[in-house]
Formats: sequence, structure tokens, C-alpha cells
Amino acid sequence: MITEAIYGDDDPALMLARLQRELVELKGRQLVGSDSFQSYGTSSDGTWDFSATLIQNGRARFRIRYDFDRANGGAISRINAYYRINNPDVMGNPMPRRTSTNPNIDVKWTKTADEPTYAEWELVVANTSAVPATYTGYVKLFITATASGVFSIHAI
Amino acid sequence: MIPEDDLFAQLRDASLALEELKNRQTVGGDSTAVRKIVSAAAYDRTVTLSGAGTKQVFTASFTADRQAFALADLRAAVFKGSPSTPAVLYDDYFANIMQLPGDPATPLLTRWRVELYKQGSGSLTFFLKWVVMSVDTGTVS
Repeated sequence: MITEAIYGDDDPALMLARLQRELVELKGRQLVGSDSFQSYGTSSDGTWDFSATLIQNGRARFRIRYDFDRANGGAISRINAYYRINNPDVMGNPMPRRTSTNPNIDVKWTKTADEPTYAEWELVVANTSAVPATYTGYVKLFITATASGVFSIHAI
Repeated sequence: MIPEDDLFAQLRDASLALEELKNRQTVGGDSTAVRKIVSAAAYDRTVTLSGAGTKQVFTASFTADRQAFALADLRAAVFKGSPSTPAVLYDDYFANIMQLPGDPATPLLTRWRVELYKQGSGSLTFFLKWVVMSVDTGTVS
């Protein structure tokens, strides 16, 4: 009588051989990509995140900080800001970032820090009106990163 | 000698652990290794611009060591007058950074077009330092 006939799939020799084969497969090069690589989009629930009411040529500066939840070796992170004049429903009619179509409020930003546990940007809201006039710019932020996290906004 | 029941139990536990390992393992959060890459130079580009609205276009390059089309992001740190005095966004300058299309013939190479616009009157010398965040090591120039 052969062992296989007694144990079937529970033959310890076969189980051991299968385990060894699967371990060899796992020890091979593991590629990460497609649906196994996760990136994170972060935005608030609100229609806008902050605003600035500015007279002609007025500017307001903000520091946007994105603290990673767990990553401590840095992350690839990008920010996008939409804005709207005198209306907090920013995404109802987001402004293209072109002064030709939006002559009164401008929003520009630059990344200022890539640290192990956070990233930081400086963002400027400016009143670019050609005539004396006061406008309020409402801004909404969207962050995409290889690490989850939370953002905070600080006027500077 | 290991009792037969124990042997089977251990083999089944090992099989179960392997099955769990072979399931989809999501990579993200704190398990994505990211590198910050800068050149050894004090700055990577310099230009003197005169007058408001004047512009200079640069190309920044990152060559990955191993990964084709490695995910990478460029930051341009801008200084004025010297490579250690930060320029002020909107008062001194603003910059647009656009990633250029990847070339299948050079899959390790990522390039960006950096447009630097001077704000305000007068003449100013800018110094730019590239900072690349990527999933691979490499060189920036």
C-alpha cells in the first residue's frame, strides 16, 4: 500500500513539498504596482477650506502642512487648489488657473518642504484687480500622496 | 518523534499562513519607500532677470538608477541674490512646473519644464535648487 492512498491530500510529504514550492515562489522578486500600490487623496468635507478678503493688490499667505499618518521616510505628495470669487461653493464653478479668464483673484503655490513625516507648501491669494475693488477668494485643497495624512492651514 | 496529529496541525497552520501571505498585499502609507534626491551642488540653475513678468525656462532631469518610468515629483527651491536667501513667492517670483512626456527610448529619465517668472521691477539674480522625491534612487541635474 502506498502512502498517498492512505492520506490523500493530507499526505505530509505532499503538503511539505507544496509548502516548499510556495515558499520559493514567495521568496522571488515581488513586484508592486497596479492595484497593489495605494495612493491617497485627501480633501475636507467642506465646500471650501479657507478664504481671504483682499483690497486691490492685497495678498494673503498661507502655509499648508500635510502630516503623514504613519510614513516616516517621506512621501511623494502633490497639492491642487481650486478657488472661486465671492462664493464659497468652490467646486460649483472652480476657476481655471488663468488670469485671462479670472482677472481679479489669483492663487499660486509652491512646495517648501519634503520632510520625513510631513510636506509643506506656501500658498498666496492675491487681488489682481486693475481698479480699486475688494474681493474674497475661497479656496479648496486637494492633496494626492503615497502616504495618508491630514492637512492643516496656517495664515502667515 | 512528533506525534502524527501535531505534525498535521503544524503543516495545516503553515499552509494557512502561506495562503494569507499570498493574498493581495496592499502597499501604501508607511510601507512605500521614498527617496529625496538632490545634487551635490549648492544650486542647479541661475539666471538674472530684469523687469516684471520676464521669464526663464529651465529643464530639470531625474535619471532613476533602476526603475523605468519611476514615480517622481520635482520641487524647485528658489533663492535670490545668493544660493541661501529664499526668494519670496509672488513678491519676487512664481514658477510653473510641468512634467514632460516620458520617452520610451529613455525610460529611466524623467524631465520637467520649469518656468520661472520674475515679479516686480528691477533686476534680480535667481538661484534654483532641484529636489526630487521618487520611489527610486537616482541623479538629478
